[in-house]
Amino acid sequence: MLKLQIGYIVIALLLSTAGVTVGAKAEVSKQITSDEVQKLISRAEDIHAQAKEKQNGWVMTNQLIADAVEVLRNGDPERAHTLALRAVKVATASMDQAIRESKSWMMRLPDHEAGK
Amino acid sequence: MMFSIRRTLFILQSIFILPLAMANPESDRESFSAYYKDRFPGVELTAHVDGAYALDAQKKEQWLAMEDFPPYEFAIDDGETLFNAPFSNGKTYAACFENDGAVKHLYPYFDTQERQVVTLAVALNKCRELNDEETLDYASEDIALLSTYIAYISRDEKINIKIGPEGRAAYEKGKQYYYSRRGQLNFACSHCHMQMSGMKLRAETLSASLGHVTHWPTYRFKWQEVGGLHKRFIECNEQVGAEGLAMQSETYRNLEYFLSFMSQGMPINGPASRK
Repeated sequence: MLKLQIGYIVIALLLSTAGVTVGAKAEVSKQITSDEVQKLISRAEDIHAQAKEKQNGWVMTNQLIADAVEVLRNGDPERAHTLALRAVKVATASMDQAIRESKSWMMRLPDHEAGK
Repeated sequence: MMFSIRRTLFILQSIFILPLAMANPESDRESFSAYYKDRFPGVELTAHVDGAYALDAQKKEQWLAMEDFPPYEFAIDDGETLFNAPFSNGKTYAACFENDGAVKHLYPYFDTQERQVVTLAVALNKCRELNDEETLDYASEDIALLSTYIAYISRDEKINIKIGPEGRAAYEKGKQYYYSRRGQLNFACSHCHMQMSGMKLRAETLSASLGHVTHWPTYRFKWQEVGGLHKRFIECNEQVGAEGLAMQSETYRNLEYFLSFMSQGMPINGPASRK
């Protein structure tokens, strides 16, 4: 019985060690480089420029890009990565809106409203 | 399957909605007026020149009391001085504008030579160029003051905008801009000033777009100065989370062209004051 308990304890210790090792490896792979963030910022800027060409830039996109650049400059690539991802997301939403609205604006004409 | 549903919707949209979208400006204007007539049956259409005050009797009373000492009065005087100040060649702005400058109701118009919409601010700069003067920044105080004086001497003149075949594309672009959602709040101009006109946004009543162009430039207490319609366009855009465009950009001029035609026949009552 005692041998069995010791066996369980050994197995548990081995598993927890393995868990720590895997976690550490995952942590290493999550490390974000400045280059990656810079690429994301450039992507957000490109999409934002396209949206602006359609007179459809959003204020929030500019803010997020500026914040990401600032945070990266201050040496926090992880936070900058989060902000840059948000900037890409928001820029994409503004572009989607511009594309969608190129047709759906017509739905708001008063004649159409009256016909509902 | 998804593709065929989308294609069917597109075809249906093309059949039923495109003809409405391409209706002629006059029928657009009739539908526009009819919309507000139905929405506010107790309000005369011409009353909309007073913006939100046409929809709120109490606020109108307060506003009229403020108008006893109009905050734009000095801007009119300063604008008059600028209007009559001779250029280096001895001429004045009066040389460029008919009717001694009382022309606000005739702007904007479509210039068939330059193939673009010319607003009053653009015309002022063209006048300067013609007289070998440097052009003014559209955000400058001088443009606002000159426009204020011209609006004042044009009071009661009825808006008379022409949309010829050549100006049609610019008009349509302005119309599209007006009805398109933009910004993070996903609002079109028409959401606030048609669908929600008369409703409250916090403590403020949303005005109708009919008559929107009649009272500019406007002294806004928020700005503490007179400012033009394009300054307000920028503010509107930013309020819905969209980036504002440059003053007198082609898009804003087209929007002004569309809105002005929607208020065709309404009297100029600018400059005005607003909160």
